[in-house]
Amino acid sequence: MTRHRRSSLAHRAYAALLRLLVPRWLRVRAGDEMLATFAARLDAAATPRERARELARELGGLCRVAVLARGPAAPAATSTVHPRPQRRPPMLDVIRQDLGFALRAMRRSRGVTVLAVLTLALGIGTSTAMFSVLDAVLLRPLPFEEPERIVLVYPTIEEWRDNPSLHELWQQGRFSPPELRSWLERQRSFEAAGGYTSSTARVSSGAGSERIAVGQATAGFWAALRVTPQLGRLPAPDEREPVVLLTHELWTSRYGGDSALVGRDIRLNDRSVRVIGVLPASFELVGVSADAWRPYVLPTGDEQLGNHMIIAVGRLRDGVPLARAGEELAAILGGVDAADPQHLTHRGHLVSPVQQATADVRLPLLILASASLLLLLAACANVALLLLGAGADRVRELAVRQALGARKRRIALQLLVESVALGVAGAAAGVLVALATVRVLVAIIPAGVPRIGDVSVDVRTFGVAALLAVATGVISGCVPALSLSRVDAAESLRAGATTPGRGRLQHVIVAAELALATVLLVGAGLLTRTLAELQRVRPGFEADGLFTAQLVLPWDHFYRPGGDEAAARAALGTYVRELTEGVRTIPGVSDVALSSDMPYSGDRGTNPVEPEGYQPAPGEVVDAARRFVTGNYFDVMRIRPVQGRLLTAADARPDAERVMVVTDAFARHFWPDGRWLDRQVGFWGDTYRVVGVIADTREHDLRGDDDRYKFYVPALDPATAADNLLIRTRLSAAQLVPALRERVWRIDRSIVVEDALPMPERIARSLADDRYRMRLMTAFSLAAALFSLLGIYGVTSRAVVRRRRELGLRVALGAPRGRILGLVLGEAARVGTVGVLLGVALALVATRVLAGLVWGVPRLDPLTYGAAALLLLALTLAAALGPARRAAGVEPMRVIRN
Amino acid sequence: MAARDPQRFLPLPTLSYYVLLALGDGAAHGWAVIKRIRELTDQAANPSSGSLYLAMVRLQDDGLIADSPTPAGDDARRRYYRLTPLGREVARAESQRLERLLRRARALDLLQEPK
Repeated sequence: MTRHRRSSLAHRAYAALLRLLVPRWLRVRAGDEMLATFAARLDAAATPRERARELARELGGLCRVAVLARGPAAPAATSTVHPRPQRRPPMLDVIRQDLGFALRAMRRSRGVTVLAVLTLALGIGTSTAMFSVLDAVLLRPLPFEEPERIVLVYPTIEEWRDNPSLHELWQQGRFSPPELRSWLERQRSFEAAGGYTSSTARVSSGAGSERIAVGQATAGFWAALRVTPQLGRLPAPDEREPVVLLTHELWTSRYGGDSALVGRDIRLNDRSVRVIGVLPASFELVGVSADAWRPYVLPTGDEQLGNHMIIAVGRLRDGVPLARAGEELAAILGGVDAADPQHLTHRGHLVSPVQQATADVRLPLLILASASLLLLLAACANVALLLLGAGADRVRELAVRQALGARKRRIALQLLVESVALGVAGAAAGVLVALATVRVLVAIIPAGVPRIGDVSVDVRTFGVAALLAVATGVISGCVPALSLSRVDAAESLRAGATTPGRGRLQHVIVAAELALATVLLVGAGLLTRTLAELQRVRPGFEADGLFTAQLVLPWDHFYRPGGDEAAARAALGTYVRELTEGVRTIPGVSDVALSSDMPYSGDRGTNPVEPEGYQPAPGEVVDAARRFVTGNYFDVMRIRPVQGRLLTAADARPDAERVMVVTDAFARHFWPDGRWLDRQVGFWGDTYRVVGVIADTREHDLRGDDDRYKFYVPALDPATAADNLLIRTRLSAAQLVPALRERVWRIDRSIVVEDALPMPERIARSLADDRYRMRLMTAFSLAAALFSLLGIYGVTSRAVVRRRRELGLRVALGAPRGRILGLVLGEAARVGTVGVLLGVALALVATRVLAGLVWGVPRLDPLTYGAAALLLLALTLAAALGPARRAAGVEPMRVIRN
Repeated sequence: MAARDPQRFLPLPTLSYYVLLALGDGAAHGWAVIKRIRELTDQAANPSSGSLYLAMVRLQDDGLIADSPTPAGDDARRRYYRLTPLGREVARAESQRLERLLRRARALDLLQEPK
């Protein structure tokens, strides 16, 4: 039985190979017979061993036939007659022949081959790896049915476009519940649509507490995405019971993938919630990171008209253009807000989720991918040089072939086939490089880049590698092919003839290579300087010795629906005080402050303010970033006032006068007259008196272009500043974190301590994007520089060999060796200068794409350009020095005698 | 007629010669030819089906072998080949050529006679 099955497998394999390898004319006449004979032979084999031998013989025979049965060589080898009249060999056969020839040639000049393959492998591998990243992050569609029809829907107000603090909202406005309800009822552009919001919750069990992100979605959300849960069910349209759907991730990581969990309760924010289902592992809405989903039922009244918090997702009907759906949305919302006194212009902003989530990373990734392509181009140039150099040694061979009647086109084709073979070998090695590089990229690129965790090398990647292989083969091969096929046969065959003047072509290629390296090096230089400048920025407070931690508090213990709010507030106040006191008394901690917003955490709250005497421009929304802080905040942050005084503990007493501290930018913007102290600011229904002004701080981003108008008010309500701990300490993280947890959990085991890390680390994390861009660009530019050095070395060495006779003569005639050295170095310097200048000129234009990434240095910074140019020139000379010294050491008599 | 001149096919490629020798025993199909070649050469030659048919197709084109009706009682689905008169002549001519070579080898004492 086994034997029979195996024989049928062998049979099929033989049939397939027969079809693949044996030319049609022979197959038609003898294919069936071959198969029958093959089968008879296998059946006749007595032992498995013999069978295997016969099988190998038969398959080998097919390969032999494949070669012998076609092409001009075929008849002589097997026919009993002498060659028939020659047909012109078909193209494929010619290439097959050339391929064999190429492989033999590659084997002959092993050094050149290895170098070329390595160069191409580096170029192709890097580009392929970058493609994998682009593919996963930017190109891969969402894992839903017909993903191209899914869009995110943002209602926006046109007037917000020019307001810096509302710009983000202008792009991504939110629906309020009544707005969403009207839109869902009236829209006709989507076959299904729904809304979602997200928040966080504490999930607790015997295993401890942790904070998870919880999405809340209306029923239309699931319909629009066409999601089917892996286990259990989706929420019913009007489900008001406390139920939850878990993502596959949470289900496996926290609950060990226990399917009995469905139907049971878990504790969310200390309340029991029924698990009704588990989403499939593939479920992913890029940019929305929820660990669990709960149903959201829209309220029917209008009381939440101002509460803009919902993003909508819709599945467009077939053939409805985005623009029409946007206009429809604007028309509907204009009707809902007709009572709005400001008469704002509504607009709908519709965008694919992938585009939305990757908007910020798209440009940097594309720039880096282009940089990797430049590197690949430099690799091609290098291989072209290698081939030209190796070709110089083959001039005789090619000339002989020409003399024997080979056409020039035929020779060019042969050379091209050789370089494409190199390209394919390079791609094969490049895939290995790509596998390694992808790992490095994933490690270097910060997790903030969406879907970076999904990057993998797959079939598409291999496809790209194959494409690059052929492209590089053609690019790096066509110059040598054209140049070498033009060799004058008679000239080259004359005794003693050396390679004719292909020096210039090689110089052009080297110069081009240097130009590419210059462009990349300038880019890397600009990004490096940007990072250095950013690291030099002082954030306006003292980050050293400052430790941060974010706490997730059990709010529901204090604020229960229908409970006494004042009592809750008092209880929470005591609780928070105990908590800070506990941390403050850790030995080595000098003070602890609390703030509503953690610097460098992405927190950003702005509120409308009414600065005394300020006349807003029409349509301007007057707002600023507010911070609720404890009285010792400025002390812990080591911030000094530039005018007036800072907040104190006394200011936080309920009966104290309402006072605030503002930043310099806030003061200058609202009161250009320079009288800042004692001005009044309306905020949240109270009037605050400005008691002090501090210098601007950078708490969001070291580039400092956000949140400049800030004001600080005492946290009268403990709830406003309870969860962000700022700790002044001389302890290291390793010493502090265990003590911190211990103190916090002594008060309450259910508190989650998150993101406990030193402030400098937090700030450094905000530079993660700049850092990885700088690193990648530097790596690419160094590789390109290395390629051009190899190029210069090779070209100079060959030039020295070529001119040996001339140099020897010069020495014999009394030229000092120093002059010979200068002669060779001078030539390298000339090529280098041309290449570098060309590169600088290119960089002046090309760095325009970096405009948004470069900071603190002018894009046309002469220092960076100059340093890149000088570095490459110096390296050029260094690379040429070896060959130049060899030239100077030429023994005149020996050269001339030879 | 020049095309029928057996000398024109000499020297014969080894495999082609084996095929002619194998078919000298009577018509046969591919597998039988292979088996006869094995016997003929004391298992030294064992051509693959591919090589065999490539050679046989060319021999057929040159008119040295031809399709043969299936002998009674044999597998009717297989194609049988037989020597043509020309094929027989060529085999003879090649054998004579080899014979002459062997004689020469013997004269030079390059051939050990079996004792």
